[in-house]
Amino acid sequence: MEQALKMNLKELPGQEKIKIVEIEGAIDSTTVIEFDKKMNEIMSAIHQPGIAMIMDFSKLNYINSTGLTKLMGCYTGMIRRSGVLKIANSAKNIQEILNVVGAAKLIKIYATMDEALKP
Amino acid sequence: MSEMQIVIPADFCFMPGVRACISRICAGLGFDDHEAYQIETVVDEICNNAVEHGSKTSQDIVVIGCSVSAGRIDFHITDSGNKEFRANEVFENNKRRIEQGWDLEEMNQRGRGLFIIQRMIDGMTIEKAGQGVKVSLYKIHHEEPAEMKYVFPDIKL
Repeated sequence: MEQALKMNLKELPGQEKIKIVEIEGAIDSTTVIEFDKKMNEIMSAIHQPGIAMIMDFSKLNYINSTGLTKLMGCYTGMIRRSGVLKIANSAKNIQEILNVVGAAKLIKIYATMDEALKP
Repeated sequence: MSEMQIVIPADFCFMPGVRACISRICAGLGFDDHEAYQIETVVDEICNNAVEHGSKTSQDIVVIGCSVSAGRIDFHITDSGNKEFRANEVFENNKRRIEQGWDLEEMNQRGRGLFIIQRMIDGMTIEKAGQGVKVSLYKIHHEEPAEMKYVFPDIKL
């Protein structure tokens, strides 16, 4: 059985314009409310422009369309805050889903965290 | 041909278990990880639609029928009905958005699952089944079928 959702906000010393959200498990119909709530908490604490939020998908093993809708909501939320949403380390299967629904055209997607951290 | 049936209450909480079950069946049939993931994803999307749009309460049920023949797996997912879901309308609206780009205001619109379904399987039909809707889909395994590793009993939760 897949793990439920775990999320962790990580901030790098001296890099106050970068917020890393580590996401583990699945974003599906059973966890999407939790995902949405946590992301709203994180985004509502952003009060300055130019923030890069990087979602680390290295431990995300599943996302469905319900989760994708909320993910796109995060994208919108960051645009409205004059920030940017990036995704790093997504597995091939997750990447495919992002491509199919057109999310990959909007959200900046990087193979590694190092690449995502570059301005 | 082998057949099985999974019957679940119309409640999202059963979906992780269904996905795990489908994934293991596909792996046992010789579908590779990527194909198994695609099948698992599509069944999840359709079952979620069945719970959300095809059921009134968790007293309703969703029936997931599965049949396996050489190199091909079929699913028939039936809901209890009593709600209307205009799949074609949703699909056409979102097709425009995906092809032409999403307006920021439209980003929270649902319906992306239909694109995932369309892309990941080889065929699908939707038909009325009593008060509900029956979605039938199939995926073809493009290599030689593996020896069956699973026996499919009827599972009723």
